[in-house]
This record gives sequence, structure tokens and C-alpha cells, in this order.
Amino acid sequence: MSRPSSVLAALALALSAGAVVVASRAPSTLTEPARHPTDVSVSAQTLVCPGAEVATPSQRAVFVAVPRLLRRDGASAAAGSVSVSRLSADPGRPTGGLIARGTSTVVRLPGDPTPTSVLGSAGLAPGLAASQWAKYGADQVSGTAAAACRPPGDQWWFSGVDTATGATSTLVLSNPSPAIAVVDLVFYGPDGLVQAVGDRGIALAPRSSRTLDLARFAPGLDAFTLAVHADQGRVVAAVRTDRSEVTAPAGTEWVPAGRGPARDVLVNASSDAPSQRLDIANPGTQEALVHVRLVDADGQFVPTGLGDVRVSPGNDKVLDLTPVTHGRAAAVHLTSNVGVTAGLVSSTERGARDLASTGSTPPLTEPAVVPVIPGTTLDLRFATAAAAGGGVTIDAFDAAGGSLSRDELRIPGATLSRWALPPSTKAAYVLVTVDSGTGLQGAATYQGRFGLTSLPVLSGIYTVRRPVVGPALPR
Amino acid sequence: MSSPVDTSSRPTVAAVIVSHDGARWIPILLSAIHDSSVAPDRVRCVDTGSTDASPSLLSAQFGPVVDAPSTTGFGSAVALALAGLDADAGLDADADIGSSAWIWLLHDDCAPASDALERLLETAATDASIAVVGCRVRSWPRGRRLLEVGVSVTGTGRRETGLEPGEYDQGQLGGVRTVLAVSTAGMLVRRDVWEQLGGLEPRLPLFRDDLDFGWRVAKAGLRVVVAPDAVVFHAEASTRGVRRIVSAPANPHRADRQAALFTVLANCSAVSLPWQYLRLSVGSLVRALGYLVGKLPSAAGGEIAAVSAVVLRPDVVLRARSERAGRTQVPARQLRGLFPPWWTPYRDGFDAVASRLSASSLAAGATAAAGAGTGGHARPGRRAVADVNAALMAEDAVVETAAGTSLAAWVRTRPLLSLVVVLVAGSLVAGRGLLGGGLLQGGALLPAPAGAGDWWQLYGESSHAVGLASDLVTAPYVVALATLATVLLGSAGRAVDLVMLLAVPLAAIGAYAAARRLMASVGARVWVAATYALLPVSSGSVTSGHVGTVAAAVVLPWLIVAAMPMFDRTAPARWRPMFATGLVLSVVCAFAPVAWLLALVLVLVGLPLVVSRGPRRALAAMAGAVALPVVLLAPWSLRVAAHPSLLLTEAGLVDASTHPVSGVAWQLPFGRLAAAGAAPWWLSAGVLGAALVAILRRDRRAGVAVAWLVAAVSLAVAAALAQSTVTVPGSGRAAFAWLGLPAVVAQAAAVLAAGMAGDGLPARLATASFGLRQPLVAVVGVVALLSPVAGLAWWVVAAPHGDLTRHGETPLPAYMADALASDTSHRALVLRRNGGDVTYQLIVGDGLRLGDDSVIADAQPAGLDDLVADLLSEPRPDDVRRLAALGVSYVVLPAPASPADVAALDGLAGLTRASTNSQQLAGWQVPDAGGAQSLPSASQHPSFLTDHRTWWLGGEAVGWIVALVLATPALPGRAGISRVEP
Repeated sequence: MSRPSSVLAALALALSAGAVVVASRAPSTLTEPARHPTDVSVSAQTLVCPGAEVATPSQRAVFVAVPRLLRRDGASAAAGSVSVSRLSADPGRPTGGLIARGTSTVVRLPGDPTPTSVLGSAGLAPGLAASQWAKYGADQVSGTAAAACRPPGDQWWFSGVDTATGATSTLVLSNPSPAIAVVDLVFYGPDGLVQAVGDRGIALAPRSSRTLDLARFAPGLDAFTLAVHADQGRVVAAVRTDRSEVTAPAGTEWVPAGRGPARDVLVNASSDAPSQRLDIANPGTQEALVHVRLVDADGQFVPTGLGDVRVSPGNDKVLDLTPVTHGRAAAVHLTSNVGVTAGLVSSTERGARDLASTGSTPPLTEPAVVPVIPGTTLDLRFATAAAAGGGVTIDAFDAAGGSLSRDELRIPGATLSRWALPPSTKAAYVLVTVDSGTGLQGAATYQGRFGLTSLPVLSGIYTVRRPVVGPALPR
Repeated sequence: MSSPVDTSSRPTVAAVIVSHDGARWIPILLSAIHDSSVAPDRVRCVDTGSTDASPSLLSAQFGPVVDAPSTTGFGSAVALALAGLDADAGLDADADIGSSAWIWLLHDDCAPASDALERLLETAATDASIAVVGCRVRSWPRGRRLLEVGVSVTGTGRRETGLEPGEYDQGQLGGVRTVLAVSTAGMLVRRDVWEQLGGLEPRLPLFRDDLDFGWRVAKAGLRVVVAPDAVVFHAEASTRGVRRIVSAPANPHRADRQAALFTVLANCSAVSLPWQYLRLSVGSLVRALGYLVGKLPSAAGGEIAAVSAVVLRPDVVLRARSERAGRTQVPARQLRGLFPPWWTPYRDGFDAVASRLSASSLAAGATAAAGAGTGGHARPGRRAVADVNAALMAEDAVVETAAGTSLAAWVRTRPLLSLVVVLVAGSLVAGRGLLGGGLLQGGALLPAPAGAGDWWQLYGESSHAVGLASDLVTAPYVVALATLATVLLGSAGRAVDLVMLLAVPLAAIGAYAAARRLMASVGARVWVAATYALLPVSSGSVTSGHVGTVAAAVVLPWLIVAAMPMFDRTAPARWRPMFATGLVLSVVCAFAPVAWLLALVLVLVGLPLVVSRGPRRALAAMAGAVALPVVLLAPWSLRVAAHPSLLLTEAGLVDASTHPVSGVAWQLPFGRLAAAGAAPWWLSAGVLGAALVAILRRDRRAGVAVAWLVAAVSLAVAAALAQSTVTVPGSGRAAFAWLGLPAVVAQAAAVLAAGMAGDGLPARLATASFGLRQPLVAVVGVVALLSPVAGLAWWVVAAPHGDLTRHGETPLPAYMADALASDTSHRALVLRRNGGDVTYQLIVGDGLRLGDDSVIADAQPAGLDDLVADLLSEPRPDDVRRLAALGVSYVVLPAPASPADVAALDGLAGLTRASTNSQQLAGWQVPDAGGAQSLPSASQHPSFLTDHRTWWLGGEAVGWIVALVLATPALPGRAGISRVEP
């Protein structure tokens, strides 16, 4: 009786040991097909041009273009439409539009200061670009002011806003969506956060806009940073600053919206200007130690006396770069221990007295449309703080979409490079395409009889990212 | 007679003796009356159709005997005797009889002590309100066993003596005690009261007449007392079947229950009458069901007939109540002290079932344990059975000897109860932090629903409001939990708490019962029970919320209890253990389906063993036991057959965080799977070591080898299943299978192997010559003995909670949750983003609850993914209509939500911002949503599984009842009602 039991016990022990060995070789990872977010062509896009309600411009135009899909053959043949109309509950008939990809148009809106919406749909939505410009020659305002027409967003940052004596800054809030929007305003002044009455819960009805005089919230400040947070819905925000000296107007400019706070900020140069001012804001709760470097055509360097700057929490600090730039255009590269925002304001006295502002814009990743403003010269400046540069292709097109020229540039790392549109070119717009991963930022500067203005070179929106969606684990 | 009758110093006493074939006891009765210190003034005898010498014996002593038909009841016989006495004395039966006259009722099979009447009269003289005096009734002829010291009646009509069976008379219950009633054997009753109340109830000729009379006396404002020193010895000849009773009814159970129901309904208060009607009616039906299960159809029929005869004849009850109404002087509330507590019948019922199970366990255990007692051979002989019986008797002897001496003795005599007390206390301490309000949840455990009704509804319905609706067949564990929750007064939360937080003591009870089958030593049983009981916590099954493994571990030991008789050659039949085993296996499989796979493999592996060494008849029984769950768990078993991967799931959620087995394979024999809150593996090292050394014990090697075979099969099954993954229902994601049950079974087998080897080991070592084995066994034994102690200490000190919590996070504001709970056609779509990944969750009703996990559709309908992607990339107004069509009333983004997502939904025309705390979530209301009761399910079920749900349910109920009846050992016939007292 003992022998069979012993055999059975031995077999059982052997089976147990074998089972443990087999179990130890079982799969240790789950093999599931990897799913990634997909980029699909955007099917509808709304851009809002901020208008000009403060002063009626002598000339105002909205430029609209839908560039050719140079790298995107799939959707090039898709039908679509673009319409330009007033932003209001009752927009009326469209004042202009496009029906073919690759073409552009300029919709002139003399005497109409209200914001304008540009709606692209279906095949003409990807890459839709629009800008507005206005030329002022009146007693109150002078100069040229160009602004990019932007899609609605939930956060907007404006640096270098001025409400001191001789300056008038105006915030234009637009809500192109069919739902109500509510925004909060936050002001970062030289002495910290500016507490203002009525800066929270500003409601915007569907398809409406509001213009707010920022002096009502933060009066008498030479420079401050404004953050617009959409607590509900999405809006388009734009800030315009008009300057005057004594009784004469000294320029006007739309302050370009910059990126939100970051620890590495690159602010592109606008133009050669005798006066250049850098605004740094620290919206955080810790003191920022900001390392400032200038980037010009020769490379990146630390300006004498401006190497490290401390910015208190909630404060906005102004640095006069004129002594170190000597009137030459230079981009500014900031690195900080905490997130900061920054903007450059240039003023010129060549021709008409005018202002030009640049902010920290996102690096170029997609083809960007840069309009050609009649009667001005167009300079493009590309800046990068990265050690490796990148290639840039600049195509010029006429209004019908005909290709006029193509330039290919090689931008060295950590430099500021300039490209100018030949004056004889009859281009309606240029299309800037950068190599992927270069980190290049672009800014366009226009100089003309009416003054100086600049526009950020922004990637067009061609696709929208669809997330990977799946049911949650049951719980 | 030893003393003359002194009629001048005491009341007059007329003794009435009723006889029926009592010649065997009458001489002793006559002798007792003769030796009485106080003799009755007159004695009158009535004989009810005796065929022996009873009449002549009585007439020789007391003169003429009144002859009555054999069908005459005791009360009628007494009435005849009293009429004869009155005639002798020249009294008119209707004449006023003074309070100084007493009647002493005597049975022919009783014998009063010599001073009984004297003590009765002394007691009667103490208070003028005393109308009835009873004796301490002890066993015949001079026994010390107490039969009655006054009686009462429970709300169910059960006769309640307040004594333990076989309780010895040690002077307890001393002093003059007022009781509800006393036995008519030796009852001394005031004649005027007797006449005033009409004597014994003629409608109760056989049973409960004494209780009814005492109850009426009490209601009349008089006292029924027990004289503490008056003793009567009673043979209870009819009750014990010592003599034949001609007047016995065709169905004595019916007569007993009919008398019980009548007594309660005729005497209870008017206020409680409707409740008593309902209680007794429902209670009788339940009792009838119990008798059916116990295979006593005659008793079941008697129960039904009795309740029908009483409940359906309210006129009889009302007439009896009318007769009593005029004599009632005392409100019912003043009599409450005369009745036992309300829960007494339920306690008695529980005790009866427990004792029956215990008796069954003992009887079968004696046989089965013989295998262990004789070296684990599967051929227990008569001598082996006798050995184990002797061991059991020795244990009882220890119990007898040690009884009542000290706490240590109390513990020694009640090892299981002591162990359970310790483990319950340990559970409460270790569960600190998990006690209190809120619903237990976490890991694989979903919160329980609101009540047992929700579980019953979930099981009964064919379409479930889970996700976008589901028509899947509900897992049968829901019925088990629903039954438990129903017993716990409908609280589903308490049912889950009981299973999860008291798993250790519950498992100990089963493990001890199983150990009784396999080993004779109390110490070995306690060690096995304690070590096994800790497995649910040490393996981390409890703390990771694997309620399926925990419940299966609690039930698993009963599988051994049920299955062992299958291998007993001396057992008369295999079918009862087969059904019992199949039933228990069905319950285990309901919670952890992998148990069926384990059982199947064990049967297949064990077949050669049974063929070569065991009883051949066991083959069919084993096959039947494994097949039974397939039948009993249908239609769910058919669903499993269609989707075998369900064998890898169990009650509760599929835990996506389950660790792969490969990394912890070496811990499998220790019962560990790297679950949250599991004990360190080395705490079980002593058990495994002892199981290995156990093989060295030759005389137990067969049993130990079988245990190791079970462990090996469990490990092999675990290793095989570890190669595959399971799909998390509703998400489509893969997860590693939870193999808790195979790990627990492997470790349990090791515990059994060690326990069997340790059974009787000290005595064996003491008689063996010294060698190397002694020190080895001593070291391993000490380490093994310390294992449960160390495990218990770890558990109590560490109090691991793992994934369990009492407070789950609800993603919805209270008003949304209330709105959803009140209307299951509405849903909330909860979206969470993690970078480029977005997950969604559809909340219906009060969210997923335990049980819903079994009906979650395998995948959501196609299109929902696209809708969510559209919402968070390019929302269009048409998306709102799509949401409404799916019954989505709310869209919710819990914090931290992407501002872009919030803005996207803000800008979607048609959605309205809902009132929420923006710090916690952002929410939107969808207009015109709801009403989507019937939505396409993602899972297409074979229609025969979902159609005719009622028929399926009926079939299941019939199957379980039949299996239960066939599995239950027959109840013994009820002593005490098969014969009739004269």
C-alpha cells in the first residue's frame, strides 16, 4: 500500500514543480494593438478678425486665403466654401468669400469697425487663414495695425499692454459660437496682480463681441500683462494699443496674443527699431529667475547687464532693450525656473510714428499663410533658440493661386534670419513651410507710408486630432 | 398509607387517576400513593379501555373504576371521574364548590414522591391567588433527568420547557415559580377554578390541553406555580412509544400542530390575532417546505392540513375566544413574563438544524475519518470506524470531564466555538477602518445594491439597465447573495460585509467540519481550520475585493464534507452524497466558475485511483456531482459553454490591475498572487514545509499523497490558465486572469496534507524509537504550528485594506445621481482624458453594483466611440441629437478636465451647462434625452437563453429544490407526537 502512495506523492510533487515552472513562463505583458490619436482634416473652421471699434480706419481690409495643400494631396479636391461676414446675431449676407483652394481675396470693409468672422467649411476649412489690416490717418490714431484672425480659444495672453498717459488699450472679445461664453480677466502689473472690479464673469452672448477699455481695470500702467480665461465657452480676444504724444497720435498696434506661461520662451523680433521694450510677466506664485539672451543674425548672446532678471510672483517687469540692440532687430530667448510670458514692443519714427509688437508664438509646424499688404514692404524674420536650425520654403502666390516664386532658406541654429519679399513681386500672399521639428518661429513686419506693423507667422490649421476613444474599465 | 389523613388541617384533596394499559407502572403509582406523607381524601380512577390488568389493579386499591371508551381524552376522563366523586359525595355537579377543595391529577405511568402532595399543598397555601400547582417532573422511575419544571408556549405554538435535553436536576429553577402551565401529571388544581373554567378544553383531546388550561387560568387573574420540592416521576410511556394508544390519530403530526395553532389563536390577545394568523400561516408553509426537504412528506402534509383546519375555520377559533373572553380578567401585557422571548422558536429551529447537521457530520465523519485513522486508506473497515468512533467518544468524554471547571476547560470543550470567537474578534480588529457607514467596494468588488430586491430583480429580468442595456444571463452567484441578503433582512450591504469581513471565521467553520471528516485529533482540526481560514486574507483575495474567491473559499470545505461519503464503502447509497457534492460544487462554481474546471480535472486525474483502489460506485457519483452544476446553473452554464473564457472570471469585476502570474509563479504554492494587501509569502512557508515533510509519515501517506495530487492539479490548472488573458467586459481591454481559487486550493491541499500527517503525531512519536525524523518533525512541526499564529498576528496588526474602501468616489453631483437613480432610461456619459486617450463611462441608475458585472455587455455598440471622438475633436450640433438618442441626459468631465475639451463642449449648440462644482467636474445637460429604454445591445445572445425567462426561472427553482431534497439526509421521525398521552 505504501509504494503506490509514494509513487503518487512523488508524481504530485513533480507535477507541482512543473506547473510552477510553466506558470513562470506565462506571458508577463498584455499584447493589445497599439492605438494612437489620428489627425483628420478639419471640416469646419471659424476665424474672427477683431475689427476696430475704437476708431474708424481710413482703410480696413480682411485678407482671406486657403493655400494649396502642398503636402496633402488627399483633400485637395474636396469641395467647400469660405464666407466672410459680420460677427453679430444677424450677420446678414456674407460680404465676401472663396470657393477654390489656393486662391485668396481681400474683402474691403471701409467704415465698418465690427469684428468679422471667416467661416471655412468642408474642403476649404483646412489651412484657412485670414488677417485684417487697417490704416489710420485720423487725428486720434495713426499708423498701420494688422491683426491675425484667430480661431476661438480658452486662454489668451497679451504682454506689453499700456494704459499710461498717452496710451489707450482696448480689449475686443468675440464669441463666434452659438453658445454663451463667460470670461475672466487677470492683470499682472509692475506691482503684482491688479484687483479690478468687473474683471470676472464677463458674459458674451452667442455670436457677439464686446469692447472693453482696459484703463477701466488697470489704469495708468506703463506695461502690464493681460490674461483672458474663458470660464465657459471659447472666445477670440484681441488687444489694441493706441499711443499719442501730447496731441499727436504716435502709433497703433494690435498686441499679438502669445503662448501661455512657459519656462522656455522665444520672442521673435519685429523690425529694426530705435526703441525696443521687453515685458516679462510671472503669473506663478514663486519668484522667477529669468535668464535673458538675445538672438540675432550672429547667434545667441547674453546682453550686458541683463543676464538674469528676477520677477516677483504676479508681477510684470519691463526691460529696455534699446541700449543693447542699438536699434537692430533681435529676438529674445528667455529661460526661467518658473513659467513666464513675454512680449516685445518696438516703436519707429521712420515714416509715420508707429508701434509694432511681437509675442511668443508657437513654433511653425504647418504651412503658414502670410498676407502681402499692399503698399508695404514685407520682411519675414525666423528665429530659433535650438542649436539645430532648419529649412524654410517660401512660396509666393498671386490672388488666383498662381505660383510666382519659391525660395528655400537654411536657418542656422540659435539665430535670427531675415527674408524680404522682392518689391516687384505681385504676390497676394506667401506660404511659409518649415521642416518638421525645427522649432522655428516666424514674424512678419510690414513697413509703409502709414507706418509699421507686424503679424505673427502662425501655422495654419489643417487637421484636428481625434483622440483614441474607448470605454472605461467598469467601475 | 404511611400517615393518616388529617382533614381538619388542610384542604380536601380528591385524586383522579386516568389509566390506559398501564399495568406495568400502576403498582409503583399505588405504592407511591401509599407512601405519600399526605394522602388524598378521596381517589377516583377512570380507565379508558385498557386491555391489561389496569382496572383490576386500581379497583383493588381504590374501589370501583369508571370505565370509559378508549377514545376518551384525558380531560373528558377527568370530568367523568369528578362526576363520579360528586355523585359519591352527594354533590350536584353544578353546585358551588369552595376554594378549599383541590383535585390532584395523576397519570397511570407517573409516581409522585412521598412528599409530593404535601409540598404541593404547602405551596398552594402560600397565596390565595394560586389556582394550579405543578411538580418538578423527572424521568421514571427515580431518574435525575428533568422533564419539566413548568411549561410555556412560543409564538409558533411550540411547547417550551426552558430545559436543555437531558438536563439533570441539580436544584436549578428553585423557589415557587409562576409559570404559564404545568404538566397534568401531578397537577394540583383548585376545584372551583376547574369548574369555573370548564376544565380542560374538549377541543384539545390529545395535545396542548395543559397549556391551554394554564393560559386560561393566568388570564383569569390566578396563578399557576411550580412547587420546587414536589417531584413526580413520569415514564411518558405514550410519548416514548412504550405502550400502544388506540386513540392515536392517523397523522399525529397534524394533531399536534392543529392543537398548537388552536391554542395560540384561541388565547392570544385580540390585537395580535391578525399577526398571529399571518405568522402561523406563513410559518407553517415554511415548515412544510422544510419537512419536504427533509424527506418527511407525511409531516409536511400534516402541517398543511393542520394550518388549513385551523386557519380556514375562523368560526371555531372565534367561538373558543368568545368562551374565554368572559373569563379574562388580566390584560395580555401582564402575562408577557410567562412566555419565552419572541426569538426562541427561531433559535430552537436553528439548534435543531445545526444538531442534525452535526449528527450527520459525526456519523459520516466517523466512517470517512477511518481512512485517515488507518493510514489514509480508502477502504475504511468496521474496525477503523470503531476506532474513530472511539476517538470521538473520547473527545466527548473529555468534554464531560472538563465541563464547567474553568475558561480553559470551556475552550477545550468547545474548540470550534472558541476558534470562531477568536477569529470573529480578529476580523473586527483587522477590519478596523473598513467598518462603519458606506458600502464596501474596491478592487474587483463593486458596491452592493440598495437591497436584496435589486439582486432578485437583476436575476429575474431578461433585460438589464446596464450601460446601453444588456440581455445577458445573470450569473447565479447573484441568487446566492440575494438569498443571504434576504436572510439578513434584505440588506445587500450587510451580505457583502458578512462575506468579506467575516470570511475568516466563516471559512473556519467549514474547514473544521471538513477536518472532522479527515482527522480525529481536535488539535489537528483546529490547526487546519485556523490555517485554512486565514487563506482568504493571506492570499489577498479579501483585500483585492475578489468576492468570488472569498465566497468560494468559505464554501469549499463543505465540498469535502459532502464528497467524502461517496468513497465510503459502508454507505448504503451514493446518490445522496452525489447530490450534496453537486449542490455545494454548484455554489462554489456560481462564485468562481474555475472551480468546475478544477473539479473536472480532479475527477479525470482521480479516476484511475478510484478504479484501482476505491469503490467503483463512486465513479458514477463523481461524474454526477461534476455534471450537476451544469444543470443547476443553467442557463448561465450554457452561456459559459458558449464563451469558455468566462471560466476565468468570477463574481465581481474582472480586475484589470491583476498581476501576471509569471512574476510570482513561485509564490503559487504559498497561495499568493501579488494581490493588494496579501500577506508575505513566508508566513505560509511553514505550512508548505509541513506538507512536504508529511509525505514521510507512512501510515498517512495515502491521504497526504491525495492532498498533494489536489495541490498539483490546482497548480497545473493555474499554470495552464496563466497562459491566456481575459477580456474586461464592457471595455474590450485584455487583463490577466485572476487565479485566486486555484492558488487557494493548492495551499488548502497543503494545509490538509500537513494536518493529516500531524493527526495523532505526538503519540506516534512518543512510541517510536529515536532517530533523525524526530528532530526534523519537531522543527517543522513547531514552524507549522506557528504559521496560523503568525498569520493571525500579521492580519490583526497590519489590518491590510488593500483596494477595499467604504467610500467610493462618485463622479456625479447628487442631483444628477438622484435623477439617474429615479429613471433608468436616462444615462450620464462620463468622459476622462489622459493625453490622447479618452475613456467614457455610461452611468445608469445608481451606477454599477455587485451583480451588474455579470451582465455588462462585452463591448459597447459601435458608434459610441465615434460620437465621443467627435465631441472632443469637432463637435457639431447633430452630436447632441445623437446623445439624446442614446438616452444620455448628462455629459460629464471630471476634474482635471482639459480646458480645450470643456471649451469644445461649451461651444456646442444644444448642450446646456449643468450646475456643478467646477473644482470637481464640468457637466452639461442634454435636452430631450431619455426614454431610451430599449437600446441595441452589443452582445447578441442566443434567443433561447433570454426568451421565456420565467420558464427558465421556474426550471431552476424546481431543479434546486429537487437536488436539495435528494441531497438532504432524511430527518428522523418526531418523537413525542407519534404517540398520544392518555
